[in-house]
Amino acid sequence: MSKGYNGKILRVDLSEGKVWTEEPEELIYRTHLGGAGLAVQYLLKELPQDVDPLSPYAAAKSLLTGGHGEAEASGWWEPEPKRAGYDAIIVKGRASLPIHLWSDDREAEIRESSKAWNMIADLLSRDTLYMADKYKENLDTRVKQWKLISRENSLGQMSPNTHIGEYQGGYGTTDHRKYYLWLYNALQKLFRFASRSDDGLSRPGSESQSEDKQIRPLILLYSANAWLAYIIQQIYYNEEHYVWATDHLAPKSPWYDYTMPASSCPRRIYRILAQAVSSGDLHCTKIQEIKVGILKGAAHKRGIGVINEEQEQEIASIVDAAQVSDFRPLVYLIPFTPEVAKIARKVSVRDRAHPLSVEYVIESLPRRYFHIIELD
Amino acid sequence: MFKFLFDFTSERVTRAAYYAIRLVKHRKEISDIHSGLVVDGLPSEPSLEDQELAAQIIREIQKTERVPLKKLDESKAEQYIQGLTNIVLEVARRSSGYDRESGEQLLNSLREVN
Repeated sequence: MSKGYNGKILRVDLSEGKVWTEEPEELIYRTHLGGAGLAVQYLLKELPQDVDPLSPYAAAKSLLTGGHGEAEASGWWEPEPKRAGYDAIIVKGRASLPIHLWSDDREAEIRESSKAWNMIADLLSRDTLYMADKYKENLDTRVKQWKLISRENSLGQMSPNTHIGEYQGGYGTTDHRKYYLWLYNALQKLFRFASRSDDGLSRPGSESQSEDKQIRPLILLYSANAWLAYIIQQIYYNEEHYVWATDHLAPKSPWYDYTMPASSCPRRIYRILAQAVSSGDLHCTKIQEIKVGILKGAAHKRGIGVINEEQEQEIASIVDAAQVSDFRPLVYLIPFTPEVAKIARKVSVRDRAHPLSVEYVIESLPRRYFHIIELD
Repeated sequence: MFKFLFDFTSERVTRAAYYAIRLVKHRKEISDIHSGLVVDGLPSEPSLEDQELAAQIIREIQKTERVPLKKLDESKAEQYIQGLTNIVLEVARRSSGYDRESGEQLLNSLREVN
């Protein structure tokens, strides 16, 4: 193989957690030029006609039209797969947990990336921008190259009415936060048409589709709770947790500022609890509410036979004896996987803190379905 | 205040107080306080009886303060939430007879788990 081709394609199945290479015949390269040509070839060969663009099986399907979709990318990271020995990377399936694809010199593997994901979630809650430093400290070289490329210099444009969004980027800034925030919002709104434009030729395409497939947990629910409530559920309720969650950690985005009242904002709840803990304010109303919530949960769990009367009394005595430090805040990050979607109940408009907010209640969320972070 | 709550079981007081606290907390966000804040179809949500007991609590607050719940100021709201929490714990203590010392021991063991 010559003329700029390696003769190898990297295949990744996120559902199965498998990575392998295949070597297409030279004829395929000669008759299907460039990345778009190869994508069309695989689209026709491997996908059923009516596959959903957001399903785990779709590639290069336009979210807007359902037909052939295409996006072009450029910059530093795009030549890297080629240098690593691959002419293309084909990803299918859907990961149940945050992952990233690591590749270096004809080696590739799927790696768990909760740490990276926690940082993204953390970043979304920040007033200051420091993501690049975080990545420098924590991620391996290849991922660093992917993520440290700084292109964004202006906030993306989105129209909630038309479901069209485009993120305009350029050289010279380190503002990843705006991009992730923008993309995150686009995904949450299930935009049918979204793209990022950076330093090279680019046109609106299916970036939201590819991002959704590769780092699906960008669609994430957040919830704030106190350690005491968490540990009681962990110990007494078989590691199943009652969770009231929203799709935003904090209303930092201009599109969401007005839809998230303070009382349902996980970041705000976190701050209230953190302040109460640091000042020793056991009379903080949020702490009172959590205390009664724990007791109400215990009464419910006894009613349905999860705990007995003696255990309910134990819980009441624990709540009564609790110190303010036992209410230190935690943030639950809940990847909105199909398993979570099955047990999450979307709160009806009538019952939400704001009619445009997105709120879910999950009565028994297994511990394995969420991550916990503590913010600074 | 809220003396009538001592006539009910600990479970009912807990559920009603929890719901009343929710109403107080969200008093400025819900358009109609009487339409409630109950999530349909969840077994852990308050029953109609619990909601009625919560409404009794709210009525007492409004009668005492002589303002609709929506206009209750923040400091008063905090006082009522604190008061309701104390009553819930007091009713639970009377009902089950648990002692705080054993609670502290259990709490210490939970802290070690973490």
